[in-house]
Amino acid sequence: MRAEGVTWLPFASPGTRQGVGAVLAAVVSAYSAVVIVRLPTLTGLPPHELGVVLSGWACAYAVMVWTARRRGRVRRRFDGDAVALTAFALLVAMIGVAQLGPLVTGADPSEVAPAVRYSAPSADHPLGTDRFGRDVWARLVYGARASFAVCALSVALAMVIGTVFGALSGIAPRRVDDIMMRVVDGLLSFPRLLLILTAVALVPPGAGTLAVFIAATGWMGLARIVRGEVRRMRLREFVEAAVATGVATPRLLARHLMPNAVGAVVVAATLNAGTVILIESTLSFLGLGLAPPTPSWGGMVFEGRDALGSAWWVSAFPALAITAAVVALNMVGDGIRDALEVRSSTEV
Amino acid sequence: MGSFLARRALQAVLLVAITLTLSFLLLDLAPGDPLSRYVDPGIDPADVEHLRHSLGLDRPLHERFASWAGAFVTGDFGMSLAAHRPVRDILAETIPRTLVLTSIALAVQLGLGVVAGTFAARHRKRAGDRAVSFAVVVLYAVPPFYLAYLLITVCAVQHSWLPTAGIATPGLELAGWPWLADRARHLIMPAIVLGVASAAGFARFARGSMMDALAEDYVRTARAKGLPEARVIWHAFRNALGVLITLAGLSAPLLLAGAVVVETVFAWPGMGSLMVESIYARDYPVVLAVNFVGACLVILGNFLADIAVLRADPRASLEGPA
Repeated sequence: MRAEGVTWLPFASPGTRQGVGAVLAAVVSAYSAVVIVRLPTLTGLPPHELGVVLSGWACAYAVMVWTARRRGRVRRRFDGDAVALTAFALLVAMIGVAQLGPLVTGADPSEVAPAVRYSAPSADHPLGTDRFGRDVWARLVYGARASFAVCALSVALAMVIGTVFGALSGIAPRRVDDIMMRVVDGLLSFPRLLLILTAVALVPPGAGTLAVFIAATGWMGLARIVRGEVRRMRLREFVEAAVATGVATPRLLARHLMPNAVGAVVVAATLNAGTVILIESTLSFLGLGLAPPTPSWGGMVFEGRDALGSAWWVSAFPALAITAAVVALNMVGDGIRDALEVRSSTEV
Repeated sequence: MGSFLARRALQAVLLVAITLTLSFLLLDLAPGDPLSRYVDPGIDPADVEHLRHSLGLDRPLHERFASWAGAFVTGDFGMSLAAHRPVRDILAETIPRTLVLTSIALAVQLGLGVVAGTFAARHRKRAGDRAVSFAVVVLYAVPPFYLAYLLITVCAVQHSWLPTAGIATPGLELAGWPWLADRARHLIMPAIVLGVASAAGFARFARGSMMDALAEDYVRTARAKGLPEARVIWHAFRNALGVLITLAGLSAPLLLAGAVVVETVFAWPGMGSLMVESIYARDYPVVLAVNFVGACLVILGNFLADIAVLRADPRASLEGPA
């Protein structure tokens, strides 16, 4: 970690000249450029919209600075993986566009304009309009916000539950561990979508509740991975040494066991995020996701289903967005796994 | 082998019990009781109380749970609130339809998955592997409902090769082969969409286990002694079969989840579309029964897969399947 890596200028650091750093620097620059160009619009935004746009910038900048500082072995391997890097760029760009929201759309996603219903992509409406004359591009961008928000929240929750459960199971005595893992096996064998649908039927969800439902049915894989890592690490000498020197169990977990599981957790969480996007879009496709005024990708495909032959743009673009997001998340996950040099037998 | 299966069976029964309890608690957590939706504000509150009492809604939680669980286990799922028919009768109609759809989809999934996975494993880290792996990821990521509408638009709307939706041509009295042919024509698109959608995930796993099998010493030996490549692949496949069957069993929940979407799109009157319709109608007894039957089917699927592994892989009977 060298001092010259830290700088406030996007392009002035060695860490931002290649790979992930360069991608982030490019995204931050583009983001800043849009903000500057659309400054009049920005100042007219309601406070919460302003917050989303500015916090998006701050997050992107912070992540960029953070990645610019450290360029270890894993990062270098990831940077060398063209496919993973492209996927990463696509993903960050999509998130950036979603954050910019009103600054890149120009139109209100729920504004109905009967005069221009089902109009093909044009200069006014880059991705055309739907059955009610609403701008598909604007709806796509706001739909991305909903999808990514549910996804991030749900993955974070699942990570917490899975990590805690897995870590406890990993350090627990054999018998307790057995029971805990049987619970995981049991939950894994439930038809997940049916469970979520039941929950949604009973409690019509907002974004938060939806994320909780998806996380509550999706943490088991993570728990299994964490438990496996902890069990594996427990046999190593450095852990034995730590135990011998009298390190307490919580500290043992936090300082010696968990850091080794972080890589596997990140990989699993990234792959899980793709699944969450698919589930969220399936729910909104069925009309059981976020309530209708909020645009959602799945709902957009549903609305465009009858006009697939004539107004293909209404459903094709949201379907493409779902596909792109899920593919990107999968490839980034695969890239991180390859960069971490996980054994080939877990490569599935 | 006997004790292994017995342990699995016990586990399955426990799981079913947990499913039951969870379903019941979920139902109880629901805002309002099942009546509230069907009660008109103009009805005399005393009548409502009477109805609540006759339905047993005023009894304490544990009593209701006991009688409900007892009835559930014997297959008495109560009355559908929307259809005013016993849930059991509705399920008896819909479950076979879903089973037909999912089994054909499973066949598509296994065929496609094994072929794609084996191909990718054979061309490990080369162009063939990359191409197949990329196609698999994309296929996994394309929302199945969009795929379904694409197929409908091309095959049914623009060219009318196949019927748009449903299980049979309405108003047509057929028997024998024409009947079967009509049914099959309605089955093609839903089965393809469901099979292709679930093949994507399966192919990834098939690639992994075939890759592991192809890396074994006996494969090198087989190649060294000059066996034709097809026989070598067969060697590896036979060894990977146990894992593949287990994985196929594990794909049961995915198939069911896919069935919810595919049946809804194709108006296939099975469990999946029943589930969605019942949710719209707040028909909780049906929702819970479908959930329960779904979980049972998944557990049954895993159990069958375990037995199949024992038959297919003699090594498994020594220490349980991989």
